[in-house]
Amino acid sequence: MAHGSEQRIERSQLLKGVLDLATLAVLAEKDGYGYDVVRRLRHHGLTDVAEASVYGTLRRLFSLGLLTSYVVPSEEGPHRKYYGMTAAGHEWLNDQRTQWNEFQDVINSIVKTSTKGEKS
Amino acid sequence: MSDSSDFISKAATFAENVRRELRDLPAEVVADLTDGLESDIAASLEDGASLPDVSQYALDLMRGAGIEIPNSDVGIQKKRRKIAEVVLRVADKVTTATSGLAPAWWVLRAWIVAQFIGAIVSNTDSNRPILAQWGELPILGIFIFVVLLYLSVRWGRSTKNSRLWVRYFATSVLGMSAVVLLWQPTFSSPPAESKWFMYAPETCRIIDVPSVVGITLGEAKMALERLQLPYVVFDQDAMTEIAYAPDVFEVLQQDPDPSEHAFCGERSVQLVVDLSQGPADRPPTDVLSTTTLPDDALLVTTTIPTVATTTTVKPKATSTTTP
Repeated sequence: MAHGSEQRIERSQLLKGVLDLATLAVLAEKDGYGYDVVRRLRHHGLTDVAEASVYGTLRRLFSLGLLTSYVVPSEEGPHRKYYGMTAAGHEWLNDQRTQWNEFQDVINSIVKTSTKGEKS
Repeated sequence: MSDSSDFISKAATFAENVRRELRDLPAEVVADLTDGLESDIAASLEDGASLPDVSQYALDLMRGAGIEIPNSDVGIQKKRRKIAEVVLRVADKVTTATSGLAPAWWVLRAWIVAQFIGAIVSNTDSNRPILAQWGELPILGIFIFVVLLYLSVRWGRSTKNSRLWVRYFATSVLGMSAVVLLWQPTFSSPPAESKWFMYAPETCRIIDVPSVVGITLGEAKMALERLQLPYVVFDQDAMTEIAYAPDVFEVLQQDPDPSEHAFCGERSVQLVVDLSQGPADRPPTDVLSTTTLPDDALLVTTTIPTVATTTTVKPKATSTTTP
């Protein structure tokens, strides 16, 4: 039990560092509202992402000027707040994507090396 | 089976609770953080998700937005919020469960609160049955009930949109009223000298006590005996009750007064006479014809003269004839 809990904490710690990038990446495909972004993230495999964390992230990225937002009224229920990428958002995403790829290569290299060591 | 409107309703309640959790933040920050939250939560519910813990949700929202989480959000404040959350959850469940009973439910809850207020403000005995709390102030009771009914109907029609503190307050009042009214009959075992004794039908008779002031003691006794009312004679001069007084003395005062309609328990009618003044100087026949008793024919017309009258009939003259 405790082991599973620790695993979740580690995963959430990992997620913290990349949630901005992941959120912007899914919005780069198409504009979306809060839960729509959550759904897309889960579809890509981030099944344990907390909805509220994503909504908070969207607000923060908006306040940083990386996202734009607009409201779409609904006749059946409450309005939906959609988010889309700004030019600054696209620029930031490209920059972060490069960094992530470099970082990923480094980590992959380290993990692969240690795996070889374990096998030998 | 839940439909879309049900999801929206639940989402609105949840979003409201989240806003309450965030109330320590500036209003504009809360508004920005929770703008569009209802639709997102409703969409999540439609996907089959269940509502998460409100406190954790608010914390995640703040963390995601990069807002520093205040340390004061622990301890007493958190406990208070938890209690308020439980109250509101109960309120929501009661509202949902009784939504099909409206408007009967609206009338019932107005009546409960009216009775509760009546138990507090009206000067009735707390041991009276709860139905009669406004017994001594019926007009005020009706007025209060009508006002509460109006508020109840308004609240019932706008529960979904009503402010949080209104729901919290109304739920607390209703719950407290119901608990007090239900609990009241169980703890009140009336002591013998309480008002219950005065109002209990077993010990009280609602009866017109006849006015016997101004008539002779004998006449007064007869009138009271006919009504099966016990009496005692009180000598005003000696300032004490006396076991015997001649019937010819005039009754100067009485207690209870004829204006009192309830005659209760062991009480006796006290007939006040003054033995030092001597007997009434009116002839008994006059007393009978000028009685001050009420129009009750029973009391007035069945009195019997205390002084016996004898009629002497002279024998007719007889004549004797001799053969």
